[in-house]
Amino acid sequence: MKLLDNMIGKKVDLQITPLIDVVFLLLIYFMVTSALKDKEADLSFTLPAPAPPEAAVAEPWEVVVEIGPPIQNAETGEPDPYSGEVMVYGLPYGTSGELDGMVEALGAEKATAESSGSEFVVTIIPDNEAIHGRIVQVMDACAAIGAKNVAFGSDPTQD
Amino acid sequence: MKVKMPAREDAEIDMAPMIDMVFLLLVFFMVASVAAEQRYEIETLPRSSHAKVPEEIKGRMILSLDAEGNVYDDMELIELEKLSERIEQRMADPNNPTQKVLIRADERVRYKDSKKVMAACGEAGMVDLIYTAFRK
Repeated sequence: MKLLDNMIGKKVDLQITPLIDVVFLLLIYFMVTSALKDKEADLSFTLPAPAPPEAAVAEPWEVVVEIGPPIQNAETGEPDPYSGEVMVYGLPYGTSGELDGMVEALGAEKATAESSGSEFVVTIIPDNEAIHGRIVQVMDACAAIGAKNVAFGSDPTQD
Repeated sequence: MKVKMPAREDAEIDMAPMIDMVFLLLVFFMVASVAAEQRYEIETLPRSSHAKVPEEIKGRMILSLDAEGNVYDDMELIELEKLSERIEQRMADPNNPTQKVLIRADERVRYKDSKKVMAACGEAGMVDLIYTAFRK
């Protein structure tokens, strides 16, 4: 009966310190995880659409970039997402890794287009087996020079 | 002269407003992190250093494309045959008409698969497309 006496006589007291501790921990957890997440960003492009008749008068300055299929990674046997031959008018800009000189070459083309007063258009024509990582790398080079008109074309020899 | 000192009280910090604030912040971050995950998780998004983080994301339809070429509208797996119909419906939605289609494609997707998604967009008459990339 001693236990019961003790319980009745005791004043009920709510301890809020552990509660605050836990809430703070949760708060810090959610703050850190939301800040650690990488931000998703945009690379815009357009699909080739039937041009309005007045736009068809001025011939655009078009640069065609072709992308080949990726090469296999020797260690994993998987295709490397940042590989595949990139060609601009038959000129190769590397089969894997960084695209050396691509930004400069596109920049020069854009400057020429602007000086001649025509619209600068980049058309990307990937192979059917070309990998998305490589395509985004080419689109990144287009974004680097501020190309506004990026479109996809299709290889007439493929479906 | 006798100086009257104020009676010394026990210095106490009022915890209630602080707890209110902390709870509010907690709820905010919990909701924000849940809201951000309402889309299909793509394993490896490509990386780009010149992609722009959008300021305005209204009027976007978000499609996710995994490495095998499966297409998801938010969390729902949809067949390619029904995709253009779905895009047309979204474009005609009076509350939030779709103006752009955002494609979150895995970096291992082959062009033949992403081309099918682009073709479906073209069929629906949607020509403004966006690829998603992580900022490097």
